[in-house]
Amino acid sequence: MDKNRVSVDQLALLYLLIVMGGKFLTLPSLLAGDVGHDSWLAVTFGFVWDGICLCFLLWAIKLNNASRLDISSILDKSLSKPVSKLLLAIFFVIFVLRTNILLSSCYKMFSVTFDVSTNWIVYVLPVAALAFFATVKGFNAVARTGQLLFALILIAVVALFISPLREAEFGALLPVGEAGWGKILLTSYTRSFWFSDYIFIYFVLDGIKIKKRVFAPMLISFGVGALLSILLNAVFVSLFGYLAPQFDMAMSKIGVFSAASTTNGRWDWLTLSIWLVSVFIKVVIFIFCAYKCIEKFVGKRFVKFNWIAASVVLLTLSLPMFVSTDALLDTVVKWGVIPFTLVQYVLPLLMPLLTKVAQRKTEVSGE
Amino acid sequence: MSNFKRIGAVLLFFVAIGVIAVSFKGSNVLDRAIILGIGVDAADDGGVVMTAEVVSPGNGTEQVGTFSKIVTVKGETINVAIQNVAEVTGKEASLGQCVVLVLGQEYCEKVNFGDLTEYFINHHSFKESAVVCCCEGSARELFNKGNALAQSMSLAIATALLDEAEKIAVANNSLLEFARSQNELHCTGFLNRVRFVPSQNTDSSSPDKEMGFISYREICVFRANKYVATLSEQAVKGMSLFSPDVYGETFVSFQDTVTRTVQVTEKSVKLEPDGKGGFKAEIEATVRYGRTDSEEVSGPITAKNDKEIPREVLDDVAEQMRYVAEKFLAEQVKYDFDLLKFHEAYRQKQGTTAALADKPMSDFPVELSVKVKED
Repeated sequence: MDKNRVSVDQLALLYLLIVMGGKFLTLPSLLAGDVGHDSWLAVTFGFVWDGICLCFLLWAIKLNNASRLDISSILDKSLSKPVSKLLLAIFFVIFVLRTNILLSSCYKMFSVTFDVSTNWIVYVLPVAALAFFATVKGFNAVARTGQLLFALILIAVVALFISPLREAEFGALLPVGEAGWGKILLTSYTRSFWFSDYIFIYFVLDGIKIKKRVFAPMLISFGVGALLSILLNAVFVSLFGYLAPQFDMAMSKIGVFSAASTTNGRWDWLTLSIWLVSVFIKVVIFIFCAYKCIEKFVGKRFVKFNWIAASVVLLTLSLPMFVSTDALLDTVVKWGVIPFTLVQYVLPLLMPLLTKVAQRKTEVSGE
Repeated sequence: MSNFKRIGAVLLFFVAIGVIAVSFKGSNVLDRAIILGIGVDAADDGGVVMTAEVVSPGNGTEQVGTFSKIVTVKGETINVAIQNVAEVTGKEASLGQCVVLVLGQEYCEKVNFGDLTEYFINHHSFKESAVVCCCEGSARELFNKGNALAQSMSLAIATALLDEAEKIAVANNSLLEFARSQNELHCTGFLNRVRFVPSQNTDSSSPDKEMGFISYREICVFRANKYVATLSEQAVKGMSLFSPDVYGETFVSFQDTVTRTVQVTEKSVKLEPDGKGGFKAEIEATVRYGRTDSEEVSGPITAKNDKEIPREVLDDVAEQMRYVAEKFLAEQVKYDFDLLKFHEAYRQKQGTTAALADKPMSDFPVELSVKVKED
């Protein structure tokens, strides 16, 4: 049995988990700094583009059901090998950067919110070990873990939201579009690095089991994830106003309001810890994808666990020891938005066409 | 895999676990001085005097309840003062459970304390939802009156201001709301002023023990973290009428040699721009006769066996409400502060402009209507 096989329902749950796992850390404060109380609009636009691209990607998944081609086969056959390798290199950079930024944010949260500190290497090693263990076990193991923890994480997120929702004055979001629609649209593009969480699906394309529905479960997950993210941004900026850009740990600050109505303790720490599991699931998936990028880049299937590929991924996780997260965001991420657009937004739109072309070429060559 | 390799792998695994476990430096709860409340006063040399109510786990035995001690430290800044708590307690200060921040009278009336609120608002452990207030006299004196209350001073203040709005019938503020009010638009906001009121000792077993209670019925106004004024008692009552979450205000009516006390049980407040540059305010209060020592019984199926409140009494109470509400509005104009968020209401329509932020309160006429009905 293929250990990377995953059902559409499992994929949908994982997708929802990783949407919730990354949007509630540094992104809300960055958006608040860019467009103030209109940040929820920038998030909404981000999700609109994501929704359109996801539909095309799902269409491609449906088309690919018969042939079960993997991403490198599709790209090699439809766009040529050099272009395929270029796109895989871009994918690798995105996965590595997003993993580093997520890990840095969690590192900071452990240090300042939970008052647990350590050095970067000792922090990253267990996470990487977990990710490589998942790689060995296959994507199905990650999907099963997501299924097991899904309800718990969702309850934690809802629990974190209830008190702040009551406290927030949504009138603070008025007037709508005060920052200027052009600026809001531009911000949703310049901050697109934090969106398009569906990119991990490219690397499990050949393992997706389709029984009945493809669109419904995925789009429901997408809708719920998008709604929660937009709501969090709206609550965050309406609660913190001019202070929002200063608070780079949105969920940590939002969580404080779970304890607001009582003087009996900090149960937000418990719910926050459970929610953090979704961030680590996201990190594990991105490390898995980075590893797969190397596998597909060298064009050789790793039958056994490849230590060299794992070492390369591990080496890239030491990046925050040399460059601060802010510097990464101001340089690589800022200028990388344009090449990243290729795989985040252009490729999904072309995927149905590329899949068709690849399938036809496969049939012609008789593979 | 040979046996040697297996043993090596197991050993390596345990060594790795050990190294990782040792490298995570958590802080033991027994090594922490958990601060429940902080009081800040001005020091003679320009720094701050910080008084903290501290609980130290591991210092008690099998005692029940909250046993805290009050420590006072000095520092050039609040950050230094918090660090200095360790010198007095031998433990690292922890602010994650701090529920109240009290500013001493001299400190908040003479000092621009923007740095202080900025420090706490940016502190990663300190809850922005904690109560912030000022006090009569010094915060140090107030915190040392805990024995007279027979309970933790921090918890007493926080519980009263956070959870018991209906009992104290006064609007209150969190650190976050206060910090925002001092930096956004018209830059004005308020703090509750708490005061220890001594009472007669009736305990014959300890006749020298000080006794008293905390009064919450005063409010001070600040602009950009500087003291502006203390509201009159009537203005405070008027302000609470405009706060939909606050109820329990009492009014006394003298009619035909009968004195009746009524209490507000519910309130609906509408405050919106009138389209002509001013505001239309509608307060609709539901009242009932004031009760003491009785459990409140209410709801749609409650038997209506109370005597009805005469119409004249309701009209008289409405008139009193109008009077205190106008008193508050007049003080808003007099000292040019905006606690009802008039500027914010216009910002939501027009957007943020410097002209709006600078607009004086006298430019916002208010058309007030007060209605009172029986519960």
